[in-house]
Amino acid sequence: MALPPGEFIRAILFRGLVIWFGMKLVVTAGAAALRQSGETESWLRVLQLTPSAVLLLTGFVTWLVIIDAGRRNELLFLANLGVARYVIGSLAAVPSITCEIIIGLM
Amino acid sequence: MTAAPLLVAESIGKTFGTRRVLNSASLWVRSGVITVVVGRNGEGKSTLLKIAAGVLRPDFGTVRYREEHFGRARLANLASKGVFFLPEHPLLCTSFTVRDHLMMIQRRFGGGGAADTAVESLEIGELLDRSPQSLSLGERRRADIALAVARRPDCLLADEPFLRITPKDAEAVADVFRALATAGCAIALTGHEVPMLFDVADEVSWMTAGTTHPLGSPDNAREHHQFGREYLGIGL
Repeated sequence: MALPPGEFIRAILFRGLVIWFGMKLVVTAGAAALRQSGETESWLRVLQLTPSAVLLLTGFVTWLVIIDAGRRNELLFLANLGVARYVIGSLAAVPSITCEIIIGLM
Repeated sequence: MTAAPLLVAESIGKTFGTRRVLNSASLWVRSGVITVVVGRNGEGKSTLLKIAAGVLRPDFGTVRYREEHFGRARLANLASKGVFFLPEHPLLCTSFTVRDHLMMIQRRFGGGGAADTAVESLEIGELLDRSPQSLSLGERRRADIALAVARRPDCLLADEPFLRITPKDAEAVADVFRALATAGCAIALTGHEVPMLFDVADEVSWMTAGTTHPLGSPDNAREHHQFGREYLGIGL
């Protein structure tokens, strides 16, 4: 399993983080809006997702990062460097999983 | 004696929707030999090359590289074993300069002074610190080919490498392909620029009706009656 060059690893992780943050904002805003008025649930409970929701969110973030990499012509260049697409997908999932674990532990 | 093929895509079939593009097409790429695949638009040249490179999955048929069978060849896997695929569309990523690309290839695969040779022979020195978006299509094409040279591949599959290249630059590109072949690289090229392609070709394969027809040397191809009439337009 070949890893992408450092420049690509940084770029993929950063894009994964930005997209996760954007998605998280949307999901959190949606969850807050659905709360019954008068509920006293803490903001942390709103941020925390169920494990299946985390998987769904991570899958979506990964998909978007790969679409973006394709748009930038990166998939074919990385394949020519011996980097498989599942490696790119795995890297793209790292920020989302890490951040969700941190939020879950808070 | 003919060298054994390094890369073989054999009896390949591929259908897109209801349209069958490839119907038992084959490609043999030998070390030190430049094989040119020609054919009319839509006959499946690019599809065959993409399947041989592991970019597309065939409906049926097999891909072999160095005698290893691939049920589902993938470019990342083949690339780590020495294959380089040059697509018809630009290969350069939009986020990095030409120099960044060359450095990444050099760091991954070594290659000694291959990158410097590529820069010199394709005259892309002035383009090194520019982003791909600021390059013309012809400049991008030369930079793409420079990446292939910097890789020093054992097997190069190039889809329409002479597309959008001026005659002078095309001569430099042809010299680069000849030099790679002389160094033992197995090369397959597609395109429509017959004079330039036939000038570098050792073997010609004609693709028509989704099937490949090996025609031998360029001289033999020119004398092939049906090929001359139906593709080159001779005697119409």
